[in-house]
Amino acid sequence: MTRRPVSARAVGEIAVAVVIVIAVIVTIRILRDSAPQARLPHVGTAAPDSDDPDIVTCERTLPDAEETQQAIDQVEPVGLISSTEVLECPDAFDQQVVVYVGEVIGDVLNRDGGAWLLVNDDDYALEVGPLRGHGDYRGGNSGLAVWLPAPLPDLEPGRGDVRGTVIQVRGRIHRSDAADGGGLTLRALSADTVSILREAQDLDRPVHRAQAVAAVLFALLAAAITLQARRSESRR
Amino acid sequence: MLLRPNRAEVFVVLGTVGKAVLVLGLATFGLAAIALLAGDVDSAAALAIGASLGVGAGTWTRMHTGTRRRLTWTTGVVAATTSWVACTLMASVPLHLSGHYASYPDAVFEALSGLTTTGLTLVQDIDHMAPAMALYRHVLELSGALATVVVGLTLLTAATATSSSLDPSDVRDERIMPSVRRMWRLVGEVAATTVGVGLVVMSAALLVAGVRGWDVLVHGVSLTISAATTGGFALTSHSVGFYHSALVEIVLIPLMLAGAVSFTLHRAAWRGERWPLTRELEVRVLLASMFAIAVIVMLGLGRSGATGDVVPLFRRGLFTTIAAHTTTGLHNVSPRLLATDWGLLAPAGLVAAMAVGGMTGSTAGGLKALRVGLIGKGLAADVRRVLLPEAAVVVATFTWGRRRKLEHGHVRSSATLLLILLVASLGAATAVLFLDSTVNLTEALFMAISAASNSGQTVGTLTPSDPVALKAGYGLLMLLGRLEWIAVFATIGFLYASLRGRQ
Repeated sequence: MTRRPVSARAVGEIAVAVVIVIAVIVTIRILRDSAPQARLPHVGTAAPDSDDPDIVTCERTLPDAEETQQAIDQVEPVGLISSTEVLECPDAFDQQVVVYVGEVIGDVLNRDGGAWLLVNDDDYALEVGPLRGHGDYRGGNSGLAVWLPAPLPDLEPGRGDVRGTVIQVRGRIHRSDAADGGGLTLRALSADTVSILREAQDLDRPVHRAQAVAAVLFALLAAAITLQARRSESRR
Repeated sequence: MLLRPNRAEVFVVLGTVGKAVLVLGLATFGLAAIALLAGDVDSAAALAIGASLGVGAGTWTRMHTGTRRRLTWTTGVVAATTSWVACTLMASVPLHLSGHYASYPDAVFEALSGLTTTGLTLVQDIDHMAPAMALYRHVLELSGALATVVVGLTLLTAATATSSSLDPSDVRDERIMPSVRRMWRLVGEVAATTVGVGLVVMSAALLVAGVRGWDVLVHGVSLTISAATTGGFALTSHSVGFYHSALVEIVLIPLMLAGAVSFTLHRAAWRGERWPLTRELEVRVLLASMFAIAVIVMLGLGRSGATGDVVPLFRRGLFTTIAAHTTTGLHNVSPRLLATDWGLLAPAGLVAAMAVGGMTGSTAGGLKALRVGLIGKGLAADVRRVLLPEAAVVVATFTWGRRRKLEHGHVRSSATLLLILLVASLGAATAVLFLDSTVNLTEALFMAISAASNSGQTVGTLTPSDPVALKAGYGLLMLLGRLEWIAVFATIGFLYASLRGRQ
């Protein structure tokens, strides 16, 4: 069995393709590394009060109306909590009065008597600001659904290049909030127990000029290839 | 001995791949233009770079691989698998440039998850992601869903669901191209109508939920595409739970079901044909399975005490069951709560729901209701055979489009796919336990089935800090599940034959 020799033209085309692929990879790498940086300052969150009782167990209990009511009556306020703690141990936090600090995200969903908010307390919310401004990766987002009774303070939700208003809420955790169709929520005790720790902030990040220029060049290259293809097709 | 594919066969595969990448590139250009109009220059530039790569590479490939040869079954499945991989590589570029993925493999994972309509995600800080880039993930879901339906109807269903064996000898020589073209047009029309109607209703529901301004349109597009394609990506980390709206969830349920219903039924409805739905094996199995699993999930939820009253139990249990069964993966509770607050029975029910999945010829993943039905019918026929006298002839039938005689091959090919799904999921779960010491067996099984069934339901254990091997394993499961295993195996055989096959 004889093998047909590979033509010099085919070798040349493959070499050009390899060079183009390497050039594209290097360009993308450079563009990512050269993105403008803009990091927001840390939010000075209130440190947990050492006198507040801590929840140390994650014991699961089945609901019992009478016991639950007694537990509510006897509950002592818990200090500053994180959404991760609550999500890992929802039963233990049920009906506890807690303090929660986080950034308002997305939209303020106004309803009768108040509004639903998504309030994140992850590192992007409280420490390094929106990820678009820097390359400091801190994982996914984490937050709690919060109900604020009216009247609402002036809130600007976080999105894109904006860190939303950072609020502190004193409220009660509901493992299964009947008013929310059984969702896990934090209900502020009253409008007075909500305070603004930091107003919303823009990142003020400059446009990534190198990326914009590269986009134009790539688009021109694609257009040239398309024109060339059309020309060869019409010749056929 | 495998035969080495000839030049024309390789060219027809590459030409199809080029076309797929070109079309995705053009769609990406459209979104880049919208981002530019919205003033988001960085997202527009990132999208334009990815789009240019797609258009450029796609056009160049088509220019150099011109052939009059048409796709056969073999070249069709190889082209489908290769196209999915090529489109993933192209789509990962804008995601990588967005800065929301810690590494390029994470961006590749995300693109693959979108294009396979899985919905598992490695995105970081999605709550601060630019709307254009967040919507790009939905463009990937829509593109993947359309391709899934076309490929499913023209290539995979015939070979793995109703032929007499896994060997698609009865269809592999058939020239499929004309039917693919017709199929694309029809699928496009039905998808546009479904998404259009869904968007109008969803926008109204979002207004009632308190969403205002442009967010109504952006969130409406996101939710509608995510549900109708059974994709599962969302604009916020809280998914559907963000809206605190029973109305939004009610609108999503028929959209998710529409995504999981066979396109053959959509086509019949589109043409105004009367279809004896209740006789269809797939419909019966899907409804029975959904009902039974919903009851199990709600019983489990009741036992765990996670939702208190009946109404919350019904709302959370039913929505999550349908999201899992249709392999959509949207959630109205925090995913972590499935592991920490829902006990064991409810998540076990969700695993069963994801494994069964939707109907053949739909965007849903999983084993598919038809195959579950065929296995059940085969089992029932065997039991009857044992109980009846030896001379008795047992004939079982099923309805799938028309009334058909149940053959051993139907049951065997379905059972083989079930076995592959189970073995792969168990193997993947073992690998998860080995690679991630923080995950327990229940969570590992849940995640493995979720990836293999293209569901995207999660218990919050998949994180960007997971080892690359683990992410690659999930990615492979998503691709294998999307192409129903056989196409990937055929592609591996094609590549092997290209290198070692006989001329």
